[in-house]
Amino acid sequence: MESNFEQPTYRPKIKQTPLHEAQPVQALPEKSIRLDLDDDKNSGVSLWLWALGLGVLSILSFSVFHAIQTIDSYFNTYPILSSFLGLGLGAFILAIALLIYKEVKGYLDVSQFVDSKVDLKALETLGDRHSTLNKLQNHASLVSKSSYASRCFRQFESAINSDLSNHEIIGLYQSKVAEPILKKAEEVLKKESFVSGGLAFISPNTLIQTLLFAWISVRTLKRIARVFGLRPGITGNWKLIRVAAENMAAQSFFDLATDEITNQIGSSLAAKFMENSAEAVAAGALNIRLGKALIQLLNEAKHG
Amino acid sequence: MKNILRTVSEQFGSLLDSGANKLDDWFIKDVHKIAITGLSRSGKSMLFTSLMTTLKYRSEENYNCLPLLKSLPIEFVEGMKLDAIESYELFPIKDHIQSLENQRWPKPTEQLYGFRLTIRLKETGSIKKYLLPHKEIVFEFLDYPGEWITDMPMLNKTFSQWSDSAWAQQMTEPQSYYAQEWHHFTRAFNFDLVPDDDSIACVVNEYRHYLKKSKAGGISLLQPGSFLISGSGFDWEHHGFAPLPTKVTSDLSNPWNKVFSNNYQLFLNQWLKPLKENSFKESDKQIILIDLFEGLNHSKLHLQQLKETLSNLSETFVYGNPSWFSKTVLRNTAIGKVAFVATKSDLIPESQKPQLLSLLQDITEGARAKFEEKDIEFDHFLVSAIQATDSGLSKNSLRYTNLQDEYIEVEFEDIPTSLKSMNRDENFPVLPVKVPKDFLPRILNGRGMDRLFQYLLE
Repeated sequence: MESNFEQPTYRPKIKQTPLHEAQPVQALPEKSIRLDLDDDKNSGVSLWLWALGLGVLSILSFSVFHAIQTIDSYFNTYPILSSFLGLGLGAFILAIALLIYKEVKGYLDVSQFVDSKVDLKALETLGDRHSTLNKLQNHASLVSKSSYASRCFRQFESAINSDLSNHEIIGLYQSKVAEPILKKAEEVLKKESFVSGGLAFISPNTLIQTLLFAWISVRTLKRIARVFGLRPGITGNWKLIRVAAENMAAQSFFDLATDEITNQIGSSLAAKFMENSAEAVAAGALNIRLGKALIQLLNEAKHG
Repeated sequence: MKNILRTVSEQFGSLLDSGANKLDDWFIKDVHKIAITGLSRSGKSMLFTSLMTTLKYRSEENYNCLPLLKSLPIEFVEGMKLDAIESYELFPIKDHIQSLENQRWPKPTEQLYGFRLTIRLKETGSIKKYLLPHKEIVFEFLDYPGEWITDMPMLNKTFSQWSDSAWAQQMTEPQSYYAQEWHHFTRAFNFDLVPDDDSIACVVNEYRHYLKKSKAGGISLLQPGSFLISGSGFDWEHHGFAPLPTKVTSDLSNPWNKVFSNNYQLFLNQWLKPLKENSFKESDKQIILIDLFEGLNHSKLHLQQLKETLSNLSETFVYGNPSWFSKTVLRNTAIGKVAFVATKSDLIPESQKPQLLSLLQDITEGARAKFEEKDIEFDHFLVSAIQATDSGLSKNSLRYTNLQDEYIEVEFEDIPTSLKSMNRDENFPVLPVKVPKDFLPRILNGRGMDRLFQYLLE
């Protein structure tokens, strides 16, 4: 008996429609950023220098103006000069206004950044990749576009595809954004602390040492904040300034203590060397404390 | 005396060298022996090509690919190299890339390739980086034709057992349609005649014709698959065999039964046993590649058969988790980690991927049952070695370029989440996707490879 099987027929569960367009060309993935890249540096002259320069200029202008007023009471006789002086004063006022605006914005940015905490654990529990991505994108929108943090986030974004689960997105965020930023901030802090220790070691007297220490503290705050994508300005965060002030007080107290010890030992070169070494170690350690406080504050914002 | 001293010093030198190599292996090498098992057309060659291309561009050009592969962080990869394992041929990666450049899919594997992919990483541990400045992650892969895998279960059968089961399969759907000519031939053939070279070749060729036709029709369980490819190390033209009708196999004195039984034994002893011993023994991890589309493109029955084939295949491998002593000193190897991978996942819209994953879990049910009571880790993955399609207008659609260079929008109905939920009279016809011109970014943008290899490295 011959078997007689017919070719089976099936109902297709797809519908195909030709399109009148060509397939789009895909782009290569983004290149990975290197950790040893410098964080974004302010190019050109800072606003602070502008303000200072214009201030000096205004003072000079007023001095000249007063001198001119004194020499010649005929104000109407010198319209160009008086106009120039008026312009200089106006520019100074404008720069001061801009500076105040920047400071206020910096303060608000830091506060907003710290307040918009991204609680990764909570996002993981919710398990909704859409809301996780929204939350992370909102947080990323607060950072400066040219910053290291922003570049890390762009790299994270380029690695996201529709296959990734909520858990994987959070893991990717940790490895591509949170961890590199933390590592970079720690690198910056290490470098700044060495500089701080070095300056304390070579500074000839306590006044210069305190001034240098204040300068390096502010610089550390600024550089670390930049890694996180913030431009806080000096008044950007009172909490940080308080830590910086505490540091300076501690450094001064340490200076007194080492001076006293040096007096007791005598003023030999070896004693001076020991004093300076101890101060250098203390300055470095205090700088690390300052940086760590800032990293903790900003990093909390990342991890919730 | 001089010669004796020279011989002793040479021996001592080679002993020192091999000792140093062993120490290197112990301290700086992390070796993963991965068996990639997949039926014919399951995408093994494309997977290897994609993996090597992606790792190359990731380590040399710093492209941000494979983001979930945390065990091989981009910033610590110093370089990679590919070399052949002793006594194996090197995987023809250049030929495959050349094919893709010519907008052709890589040729299917028709011989055995064994290769070692070594990735050198910078050591980052604070003390370790001074003592051992780098470490190496070594992947050892074996690529072999899927047709050989299908033959492995034959090792546990006699000729008459195999012949009867092959015959029973041919009588059921979906093979029955493709076996009509073969059955017609066997009904007309006189098996009482004394077999000679010509008549044996005639029967074997007719059976091969059936195998080829069934393969083109998407049938997965075809034995002996080794008869279908030229690279197999068995001379089927002179020692071939074919399943015989039950009335012939039940008669032990039938000359055809005797000849085919002998040839079958030769096939097992000269080909399959050495192949299993040499190629499938030393792996500690396994990737089982499954092309669900072979089933979905044809019918529910094809998928059912795929499930059965996978279940049979899992009998072939040695699973278990040997202790450190047993593994390192006694050299006992067993597969302790298994990844079931559905390939070509770019051929369905994103919205249907959870369904495809669920279907994969259903299809592997029989194979996974073999892991019960053994400490075997396993998981399921969807992978696209190349992202050849684009998303479509709706969430259930995608776009692709066909072989006629037309760009097509395809609207999908829901993919079944299990065999039960698939109707017998429905299918998802194959999409004849052409290799895109921009194949390189599409390989680098492939999906799921990072998740898969991170799982294997953990």
